[in-house]
Amino acid sequence: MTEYVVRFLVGGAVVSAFAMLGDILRPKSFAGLFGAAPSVALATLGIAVYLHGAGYAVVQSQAMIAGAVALAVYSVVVCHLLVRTQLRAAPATLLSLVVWLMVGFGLVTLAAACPGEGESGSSTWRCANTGNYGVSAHVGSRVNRHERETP
Amino acid sequence: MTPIRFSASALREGRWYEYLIRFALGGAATVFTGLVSSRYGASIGGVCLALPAIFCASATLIEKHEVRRKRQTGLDAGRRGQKAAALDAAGAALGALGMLVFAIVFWLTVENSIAIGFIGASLAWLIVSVAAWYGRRRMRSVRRPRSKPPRR
Repeated sequence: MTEYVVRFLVGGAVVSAFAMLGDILRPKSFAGLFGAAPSVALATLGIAVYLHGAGYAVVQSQAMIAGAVALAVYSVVVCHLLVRTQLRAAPATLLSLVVWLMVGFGLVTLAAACPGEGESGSSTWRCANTGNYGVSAHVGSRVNRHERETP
Repeated sequence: MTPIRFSASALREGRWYEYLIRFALGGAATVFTGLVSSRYGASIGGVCLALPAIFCASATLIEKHEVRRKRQTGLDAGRRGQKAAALDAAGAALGALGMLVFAIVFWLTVENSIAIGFIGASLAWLIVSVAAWYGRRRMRSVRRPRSKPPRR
């Protein structure tokens, strides 16, 4: 429970700091860069490194690549929806979440389907700390190695 | 002269509850990512590190502020709010490129040094995002006739 309270406070503080920076910067397109700042990532990866070690954060950052590609596609879709349709910002950003979900998890699934270069060569892997199974062979090998190295 | 400038007055336009909403959304997104990671594994949780939850709130607030500003000056807001939010979204697309580089640099460096992982990835995000923004701006100014002022 304490872990999630800390997550909430740290995440809220980092996100607010980036959002305020975005508020005071002009022009608006430049301020938009801070709308895609890795604020949640900094907070989450910091906590992940502290609680689970660098190996766990490595797996998260590899999957984040798919999320970042999805975010770029999502932002372009939102921009086009706002310019070309009569949609307001709230429905446009919420509807486009479907695109983010499809691209993000589509890429992760695609990465899992492709044969990885991991040491294990397996298509599934087990998280060192939570015991849950993931989907990427390559990232799994990093966690397994970390698991072996961690006493 | 750099086209980037600070406008501290923008902070006064915001209401206290808007900052509270952003704090709560940021905290909730971080908790959500943690919950997804512990339930479905770090790989699935990692995708959520790029969750655009904050962007939804920011774009809505930008639209609201633009409409409010126009109404206060007695002008018809029209579609100005949506256009302001669209500009923010265009910037976010460039910022997402920076986020991509952030993830790659963090992945490659954090196992060697945690501090270098965080500092290097953050710097990479900033450099790539700003460079992409300048690149886009340059391309647009080349395409646009000189007589028209650059759109911001």
